[in-house]
Amino acid sequence: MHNDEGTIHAWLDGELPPAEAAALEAHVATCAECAALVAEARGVIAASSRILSSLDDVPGGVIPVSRDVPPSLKIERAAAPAGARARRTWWRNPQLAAAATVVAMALGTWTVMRQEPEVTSARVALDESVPASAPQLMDSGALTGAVPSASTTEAPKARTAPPVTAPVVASIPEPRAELARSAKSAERESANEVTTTERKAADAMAQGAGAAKAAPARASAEADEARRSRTRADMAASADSARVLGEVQAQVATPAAAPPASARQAPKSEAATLGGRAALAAPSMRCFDVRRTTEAEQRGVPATVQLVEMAGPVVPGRTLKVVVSSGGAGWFWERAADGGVLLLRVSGTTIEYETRITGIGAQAAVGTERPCTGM
Amino acid sequence: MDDRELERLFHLYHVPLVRYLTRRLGDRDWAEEVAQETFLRALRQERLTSERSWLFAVATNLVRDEARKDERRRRHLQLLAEEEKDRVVEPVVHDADRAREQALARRAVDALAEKDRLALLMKEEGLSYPEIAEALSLSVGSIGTTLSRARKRLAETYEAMHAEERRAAGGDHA
Repeated sequence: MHNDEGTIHAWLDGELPPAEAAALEAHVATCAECAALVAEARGVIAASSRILSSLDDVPGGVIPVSRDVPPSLKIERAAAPAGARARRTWWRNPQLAAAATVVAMALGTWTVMRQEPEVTSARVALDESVPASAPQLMDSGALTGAVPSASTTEAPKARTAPPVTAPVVASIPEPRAELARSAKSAERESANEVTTTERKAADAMAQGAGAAKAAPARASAEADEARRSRTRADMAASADSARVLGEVQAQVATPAAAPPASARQAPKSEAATLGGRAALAAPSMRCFDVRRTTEAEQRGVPATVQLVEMAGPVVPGRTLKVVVSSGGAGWFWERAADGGVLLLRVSGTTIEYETRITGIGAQAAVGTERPCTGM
Repeated sequence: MDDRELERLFHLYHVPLVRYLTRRLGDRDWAEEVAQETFLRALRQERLTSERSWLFAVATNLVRDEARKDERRRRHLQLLAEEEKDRVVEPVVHDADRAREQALARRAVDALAEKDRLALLMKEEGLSYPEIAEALSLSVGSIGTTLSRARKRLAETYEAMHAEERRAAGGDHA
């Protein structure tokens, strides 16, 4: 029996009960019509997320509604979070055109899939101008030729991820009454915290001084990491862009409903790395389930991600690449110095949030990966 | 609810709530104000059982009530805002393509039915189907259909607007 679009979206959103999800997945594996619907739904989901993310570039004060707001809504207007004001400035940066590209990319993909929903094995044939957010169907072999990382063949099911570390942001102390102050201090707090872990980025809003201490000094043998470290230091010194609001650790787990065995193929090539420099003939992608802490979930970290080997927005000192996910917008990824994966929510050139997916390392990716189906 | 509990709520939900409201309203300051009012109302509650859906529902209702109350005046203010934007507000110097994309996105989102738009925006902020259903007084079983319809229409509308714009641009060059 075929499935309606609502059910398919619920499945892709991870909202179906396990038994129902498994049944649907099994059906999709054998039903070309439903597989096409799933592909289309995936494209639509990605496209709508990207469209919505472009709405975030909104300045305040455009609509003078605050002057029309009932007194009850006018609280602490004067004490509005400084961070909120500061956030407005990033979009003035003329370098920023990447989000529009991403929107067009997702739409292009979606359009392609609408036109040819039956092309289940034609991903590698996609023109490079129709990038890698193409919905994934059954043929994981399409990853051939551009597989990031040094992972080897199989995709084992159960690699135990490290335990979840304590959420950082959720435990911010310093009680205070004013909400506005609270918001501001949350950002400051985050800036302080980033100095305490190995991969902390600078809080550029912190007037430069404290931020400079936070410049990461990641030791790495990777060539491009040297470049990244340098640019990060530059970023901290110039105190201009990155702002880490928080950092939690997420875990990667195997999917609750295992994809069909036919789709459980591992990437076939090790020709490229995720360093960001490899010139890829065609965009490649890898898919992961992310087991999230409560904090990560609240922060909107997607439950499933496709890490696409394709340049994301330009953020000084970072090498962001495209993430396609079924939930949340504005997410990108970056390969960490140690081979791990960082998920970042980016708004313009501002990194609003950054989290690390443990368990994805230079040598460990095979234990956490899943085929790009059923996401 | 005491201050500590309020702080916990604030740290967890302030960012997604403001983003949700900003996308809904198109104005960050307004979004911040509505969010703050929402948290203040939470402060008056003894405790919240479904805190995330409660916060999003209250914020949505604040916007809705106000919109209902003063729609005519708001339109007038928006017109004034358009005029004032060039004169008073910080000049917008961002990339023209980006601005165009954003305008298209805004129009496409505004073209959605209210229920579809709110459900979609809430989903984007990580609310689960049951939470969305609770916040919007819908049945959980209808959320998948609502979201699929919203996403499809959003993408289709946006795509159509894009195509229209491309055609217009092509016509200009011809």
